[in-house]
Order: sequence, then structure tokens, then C-alpha cells
Amino acid sequence: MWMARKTEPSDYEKLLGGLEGDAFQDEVCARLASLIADFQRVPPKPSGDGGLDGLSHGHTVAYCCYGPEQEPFKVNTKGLKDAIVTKFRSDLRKLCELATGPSNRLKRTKSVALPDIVEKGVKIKHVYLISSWFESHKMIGPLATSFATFRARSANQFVAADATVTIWGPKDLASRGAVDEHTMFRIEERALMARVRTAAAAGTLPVSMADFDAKFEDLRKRGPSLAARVDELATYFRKAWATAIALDNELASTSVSLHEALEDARAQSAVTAQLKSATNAEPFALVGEMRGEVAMRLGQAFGQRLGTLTSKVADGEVGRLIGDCHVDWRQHGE
Amino acid sequence: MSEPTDAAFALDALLKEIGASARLSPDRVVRSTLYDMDYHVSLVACAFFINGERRIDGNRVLTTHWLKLLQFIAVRPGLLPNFERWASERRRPDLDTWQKMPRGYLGDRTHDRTIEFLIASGVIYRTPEELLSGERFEVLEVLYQNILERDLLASERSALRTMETIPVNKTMLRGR
Repeated sequence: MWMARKTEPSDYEKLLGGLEGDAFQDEVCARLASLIADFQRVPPKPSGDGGLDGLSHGHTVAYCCYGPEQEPFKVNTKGLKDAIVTKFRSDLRKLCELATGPSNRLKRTKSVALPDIVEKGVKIKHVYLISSWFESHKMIGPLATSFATFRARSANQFVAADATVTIWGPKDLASRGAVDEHTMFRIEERALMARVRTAAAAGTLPVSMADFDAKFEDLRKRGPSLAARVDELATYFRKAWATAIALDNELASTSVSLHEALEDARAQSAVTAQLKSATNAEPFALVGEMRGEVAMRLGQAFGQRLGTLTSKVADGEVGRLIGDCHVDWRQHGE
Repeated sequence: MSEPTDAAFALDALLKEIGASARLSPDRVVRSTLYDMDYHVSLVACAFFINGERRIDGNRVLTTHWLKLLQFIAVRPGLLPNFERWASERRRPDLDTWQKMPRGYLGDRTHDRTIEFLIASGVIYRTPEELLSGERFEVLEVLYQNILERDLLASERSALRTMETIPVNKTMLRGR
């Protein structure tokens, strides 16, 4: 007897649904670019994106993305739905060159960005609103109604008077075209970095921070008037250390070669810093030099893969070296 | 602190202001146990005695790639549920289950080096697809007894015991 298998979200769908902010937008654009020959990503510089994140089909189809932070909405999906509707409403309003005046009245305005983005004389006929969460049909009606209102009030320079709108979630994007190994590799890497950020935000710290705390306490005692700066730096390096630990844990489970590269970068940086320390007469540049060394090694090992995490991880590795007793400034006998 | 890149330099400046001279310990940075050969030898010992097949001639045997996968998951028990799901559903492949196979184990070079060392030491022999006990196999036997007596590597042994129930074949180890 034939039995239906339980339908579960695909891995791609799940990973896409977990991305937030720029990571979500970057993945959506990469996915659409692999599916649509003339997909055009819209960079937000220099004057904003005019509410558009991408265009295709000879600039007649527009795409707006939104990957909201999901943590605050874990138990409040209504809040999440409202946040998405508000964001997309704002994007549609911008496309229609409208702004809200006093008492929320719509007034026409001129977009600075759109004339430089959309081909002259071409009008957008369809808009896809792509969100990392689309589990409520209550988003469809309000957004379609708002879009109709905006079109009616708009001068329709960039959006056709009869333009239509569709909302997509991760499921819709996953089901369009094959999810090949390249796609999975790309999103897993993004998801890895997103998980590192989440784990870092959760503040995973080593079991013992006694040495780390003792070193900063020593600074507080020796420079009581500078206690506020000491606290600020201690807090910063502690958080950065948590990021480095999160990356370490993720790579240890998912990518041995990248984890080994991280270990090598850490060990080699310490050796180089030791050599420099032995010959350098300026002890007050040691931490900065060591941090530079770690950042360079991370760059060699990971290229651009860590993105903005590189500097946080480099600082985190310095935090680790302070906490693991390799860097010390306490006077002997303490 | 607006720019994170400033933090290290800010700490240098603070140390200078306070007159606290930073120095580096000459000790080497301790590497993760994931790259510790003693640890890997211990894992190999556990895998041979928990998951290995004992043949009539007294030899213990393990498929080479199965051992590599066993030890990889044993130190990362978080991967076990995904692997179990992949192993049970791999005959009806789809993208969901395809992703569950922890293919990262193929890049575990520390294990490869450990096996090379054990072969060179005569502790194990290698055939084209299997590893079997060598003339100095008692090294692993004594080590495993020590691990049991001191109740060491409990988490790793537990994961290995769970994987004992998963049927293994060569097609599966090719990721299919």
C-alpha cells in the first residue's frame, strides 16, 4: 500500500527561514540570480535602494526582501507578521513615490534613487515581496489593499497602474528550481555564520574566566581613575571571546578543515607575536600587533568567508589569549 | 568604542597610561584535543572493541571508512540524530536526508595520520577496505581496559554504542 511521507520543510527552506537582515537578502538575491537570467541586484548605495532589492524581466518585475530579527518574536507571531507588513508597506510606498504626511495622509514625492535604478520609460508590472517568514495569510489582504491604494495615489512613474503583488516565503523560493549542491553549500555557509552570530549573542563563555577577570581587576586597581575604560574594554573582549568560541564550536562540528585552519591561525599568531615580543622594545604595542597578526592569519585561512565577523573573531582570539594566560601585564608575584 | 578594530589599540593605550607592561608567555598555545593523537588513538581503541567484528581467527576488524566516521561522530555526538535519520532513509533519497550525512568526516586528517602511525607501529594492519588487529594490537587492548577501569570517554563510548545498531555497508560509506 502506498503511504504518504510526512512533508517536512526542506533543509534549504529551513536554513533560508533562519537567516536575518543582510544575510537573508544576500541569499535571496543569489538564489534569484541563479534562476533568472536577467536578475539585477540593487545595491543600496549611494542614495538608498528606493524600496527595491532586485529587478528582472527587463525591469518589469521588482523584488523586495525582508529578513526580520526573529528572536524577539519567537512567542509573538502577530508581532512578527505586523513587522513584516509594516516593512513591505513602506517598500511599496517608496516604489509608488509616496510619503506619509501629518495624520498618515499620503502625499506624492520624488524618489532620488529610482530614476537611477529603473530603465527609463519602463514600468514595474509585478512586485514580489520576499520574507523569511510567511506563515500567516493575514499578510496577503492588507498588503494587496495597501498596494492598490498606493497605485491609485501615485503618479505611476515607475509602477504600472495595474501592477500586481505576490508574497513569497522560504517555501516558495525553495520550490522554484532545483536546490543543487552549490545552493546548499552557499546557504549552509551563510547559516553557519548566522549561527555563529546567534551563539555569540547568547554569550557562550569559557568555564573559567578567573585569569581574564584578574588581569582587568589588576588594571582597575592600578588606575582607579580609568576604571570606566577598563570595564568597557573588558566587556568588549569578553563578548568578542564568546564570538570566537561560537565559531570554534561550529567549525569543530561541521568543517574539520576550516576548524584546523582556525587552530593554525591561532597558534601561528601566538608564535609570531612571541617572536615579536622577544625583539620588540615597545611593550605597549603588543596587543595591537598581536591582533593584527591574528586578523592577517584569519584572512589567509578564510578569505572573505567570515565577512564582518573577521575583526570580531580576531579581537576574540586576543581575548582568549588574555584569558588563557598568554598575555599578561600583572607585576610578578601577583 | 565605535570601531572594534580600535579595541586592541585602546587596550595598548590604556596599558601605557597605567604603566602596565604587557608580555607574552613563552608557552605554546594548547591545541584542541580534536588534534591530539593520544585522544585519537583512544577513540580508535574504543571503536575497535565496541564496533569491531571479532573473527574466528581472533582478529578484530573494522571497515576503514566506517571507523573514520565512527570516531568523527563519537567526538561530536550532536551529529548523531542527523546521521541516524540519514542512515534510515537513505534508500529513499531526497534533499532533506542527503544533507544529514556528516560528510565533513572525510576531511578529518588527524584521524588519517593516527591510523598511519598505528599501521607503522604494527598495532593494526590495513587491507584495501578494512583495518584489522596487528601483532602489537595489545597496545589498544590495554588502553581500552584502562579507559573502562577509569570510566573515561563516557560520552564518546555512548555514541559508539548507539552507532553499533546502525547497519553499515560500503555503498553507504560512499555517501549513497
